[in-house]
Amino acid sequence: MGTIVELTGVNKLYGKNHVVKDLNITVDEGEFLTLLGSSGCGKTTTLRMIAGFEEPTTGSIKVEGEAIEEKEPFERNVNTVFQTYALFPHKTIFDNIAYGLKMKKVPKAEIKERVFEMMEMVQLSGFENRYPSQLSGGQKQRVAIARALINRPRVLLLDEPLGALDLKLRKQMQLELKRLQKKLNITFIYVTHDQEEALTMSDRIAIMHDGIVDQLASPTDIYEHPATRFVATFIGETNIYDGCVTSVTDGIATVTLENGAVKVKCDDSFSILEYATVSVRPEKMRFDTKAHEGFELVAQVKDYVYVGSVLKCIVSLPNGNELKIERLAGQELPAIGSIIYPYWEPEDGVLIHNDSYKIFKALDEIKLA
Amino acid sequence: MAKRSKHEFKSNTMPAIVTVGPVAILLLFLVVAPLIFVAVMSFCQTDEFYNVVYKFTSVNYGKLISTDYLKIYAQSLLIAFITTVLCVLIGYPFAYIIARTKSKKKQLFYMLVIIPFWTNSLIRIYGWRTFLGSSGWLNKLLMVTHLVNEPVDFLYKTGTTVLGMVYCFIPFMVLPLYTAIEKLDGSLLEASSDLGAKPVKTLFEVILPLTSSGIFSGCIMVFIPCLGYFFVSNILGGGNTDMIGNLIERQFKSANNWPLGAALSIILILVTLILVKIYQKLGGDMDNLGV
Amino acid sequence: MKKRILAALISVSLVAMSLTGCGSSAETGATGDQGELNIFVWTEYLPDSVVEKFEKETGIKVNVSTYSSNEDMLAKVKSETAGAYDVLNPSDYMVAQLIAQDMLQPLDFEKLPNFSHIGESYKNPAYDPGNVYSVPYMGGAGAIVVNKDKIDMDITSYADLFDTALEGQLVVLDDFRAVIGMTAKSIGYDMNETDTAKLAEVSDKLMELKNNVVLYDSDSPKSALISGDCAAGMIWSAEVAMAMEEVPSIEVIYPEEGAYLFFDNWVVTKESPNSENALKWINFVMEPENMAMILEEFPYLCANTDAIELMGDEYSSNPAKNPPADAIAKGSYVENLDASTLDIYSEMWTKLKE
Repeated sequence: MGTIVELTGVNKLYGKNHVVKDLNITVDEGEFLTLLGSSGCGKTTTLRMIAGFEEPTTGSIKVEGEAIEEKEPFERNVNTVFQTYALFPHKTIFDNIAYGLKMKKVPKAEIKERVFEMMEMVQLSGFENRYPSQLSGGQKQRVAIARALINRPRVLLLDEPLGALDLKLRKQMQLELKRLQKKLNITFIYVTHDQEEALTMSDRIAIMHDGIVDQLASPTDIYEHPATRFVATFIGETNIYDGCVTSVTDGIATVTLENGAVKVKCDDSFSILEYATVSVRPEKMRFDTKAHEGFELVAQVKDYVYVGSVLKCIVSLPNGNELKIERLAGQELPAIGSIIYPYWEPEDGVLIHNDSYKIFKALDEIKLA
Repeated sequence: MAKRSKHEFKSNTMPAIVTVGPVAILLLFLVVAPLIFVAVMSFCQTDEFYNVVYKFTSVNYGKLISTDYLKIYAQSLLIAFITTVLCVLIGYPFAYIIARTKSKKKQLFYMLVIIPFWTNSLIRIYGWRTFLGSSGWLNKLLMVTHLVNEPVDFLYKTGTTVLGMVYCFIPFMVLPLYTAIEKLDGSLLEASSDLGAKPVKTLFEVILPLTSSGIFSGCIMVFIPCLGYFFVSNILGGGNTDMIGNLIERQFKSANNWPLGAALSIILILVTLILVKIYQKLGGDMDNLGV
Repeated sequence: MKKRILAALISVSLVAMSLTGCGSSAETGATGDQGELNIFVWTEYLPDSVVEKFEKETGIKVNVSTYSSNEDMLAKVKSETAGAYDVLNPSDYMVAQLIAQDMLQPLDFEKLPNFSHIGESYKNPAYDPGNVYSVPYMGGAGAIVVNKDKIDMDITSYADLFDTALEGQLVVLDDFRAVIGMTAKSIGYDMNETDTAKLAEVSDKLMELKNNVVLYDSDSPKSALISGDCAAGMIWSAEVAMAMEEVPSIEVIYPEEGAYLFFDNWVVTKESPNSENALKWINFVMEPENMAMILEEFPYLCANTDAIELMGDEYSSNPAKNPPADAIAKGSYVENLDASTLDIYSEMWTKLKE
């Protein structure tokens, strides 16, 4: 599968507001790529730049190798599904879906055929003469999807399309969208702030915050191997420990935290005296009644939170920080108030560079030069 | 069994009378009564001293069928129509730009349309007369730049009257259009473009249909008053081309034939009612007529 | 903050603008403790300075309203409450109409000693025998005006105005009696023609005027000539005089057929609540010195011979200001017509203006 969309050095500034910073993303043909982040991170702006509703301040956007950043939306071979559906209220469902084909001056008979085909695909047969105001949210969403897909775009852009639907419908639509995407083999670029949605549907996720992409990887990679502190805290729940690397031996680093030393697996990009962050998912946390080798953490059990299938145990460290330990309900757990010694298998943790590390490295290089 | 409270209203009449009553009485005196008076007068005659004689006659309505009067009606309708069309053509782009600009000056532009309104339109029309005259600024400009050798006759033509009318009525067109265009959902325009429509196509497929109520409103607000205007054709048209308004005005002033004037007015009112009915049938928004 | 300042500015300018609309007519120390006077007079016919002088001398507060045609005046007077106007300034035929409709009160000549200054030939007119109700003021002719710089052809008669060479050049009075009368005279008929067959011919002739006239104006017809929008026409004689002062190439011509003549008079309405003040006013105007002030500004033909003497040569020898005796002798006044004839005239006028 080749690259179908390529963003290189894309920046977007609104006045002094630097909304998208030096973005470099490649999207593979046929993949379901999600841009994930909270509001204001630049994901929607990025999508709109690919669609053509905004122009990048600098940088290039290529679709199938062709630079399109200067082209108008109607000149691009991509289509958008809008968050608010944007169905034409004065046109019937048939006319809405047929709109793109009408603009391409496709013959009437062919339009009719393709519209009905598409309506069947999104399970809206029989609705052709209705108006958008007569449809439910879910139905409107399907019309919006049909209207976009009928044009056989190379890339479909979806801007938080399921945001306005209720939970059950949303889950249902997620599956449908995924199914459609696989069936038609169209590249989907999807924007959402819902991480569960992203994890469910995507082939790869680009986690964005503050205008930059923190990590672009498959859901598993993102969950298991978060590249930055932000990604670690954004996806799922985790325990975060900031500290300083004191030794690196055979791929295991010893990190000294405020509350004591811990061990975690690391790669060779880490060096001694580097500030780093350790991330351990609650379900990977273990504890013992006595100190475990290599770990100096001591904690007291504060509380238990029952969440249906799992039990979360909140323990507090001497400096006031809290840890979460997750267990399946039914397993044995220590009583509230008891002292435990938390630890984990080094390979169950992730060591992440602390951003400020980069500053020190740069300063170092200047000194050496 | 609980007894019904004495104060419980058995129907809605009492509240209705109290709230709507005063207004209804006002309307009765200020609108209905004068209308009846005018209608009655239209069937009267005059004596040689121009006094109204209350003797029934249909001679006034008979006169209206003469070609002269019909010609004047036709002319007025034509001028009103042309004025309305020009107002749409000029007013629409104007309203569109103001309504959809993201500039912080949006309020300012809106005020610029409204502010001239605050000056009496009669004075503004006189201003146009001075401006367009043989020794007015426009001709001076044209002569100074050597575009013409002699002053051009801008004044006292039917075109001048239309210009004056358009000038007076543009705000009446821009305001309803502005309201309708502002309500337009920007994402619809993006969707249209996304689906391959060039700007012109988007205009005809999306923008115009969705703002048609504004266009309708604006047309009614221009066309109907335009029919009755007389001072514009007097001042800018030189009193050359009579419109219905001129005709009616003259009956109540120099010609001193109030019954004829009354008959002409009744006809004008009927024409207006028919137009409003057509507007309503075409789906016009009756609530926003006062915009 | 910015929004508030803007809002404040707008409110202030709104208030200022609405206030400028208030208070218009001559406010000059007239205390009004001697009462009021409501004068209804022709436009461009009564200088503010004269009114102010009267107010100063008598302490009477004067309100001046104006009109530009006799019929307009009549319509207004009838539609307002009785007594809204104390003094009117109708033309000859209109005086007759007002008398016939019992709308005027007889004048007390003991209170009008200045009547002695009026020329004998102007006393006792046909429309008000014995001057029971009226006192003559000023008059003139519907004279032909020509801007010699713009028009080559020689214009000497009303008939010449119908020449196709004058297409789009003329301004005429917005007065149906004057224009129709002029048309009738141009084909040799009477100013106040009643014969229906002849009127049919007049109607046809009138249509020939349509292409030549671009402006109908009784308010201030000289403006069009001064600005150059029109090159010739038929307007009030004093207006010609005023135009001549601004544009030397403008000339006055009294038509061969005999001009349309008019004479305006002061009358007092029957219901006038201020008849004492009305008489004071009329007497004041007949004072030669005051009449001369009026003539300085609006140089019409004058009935006040002593005032004319005060004006000197510049006035008496100017044909536009003081129409020559032979022009007056040839001229004709508008007279009242019966209802059906009036209807015919009305229809003709409608046809011309459509």
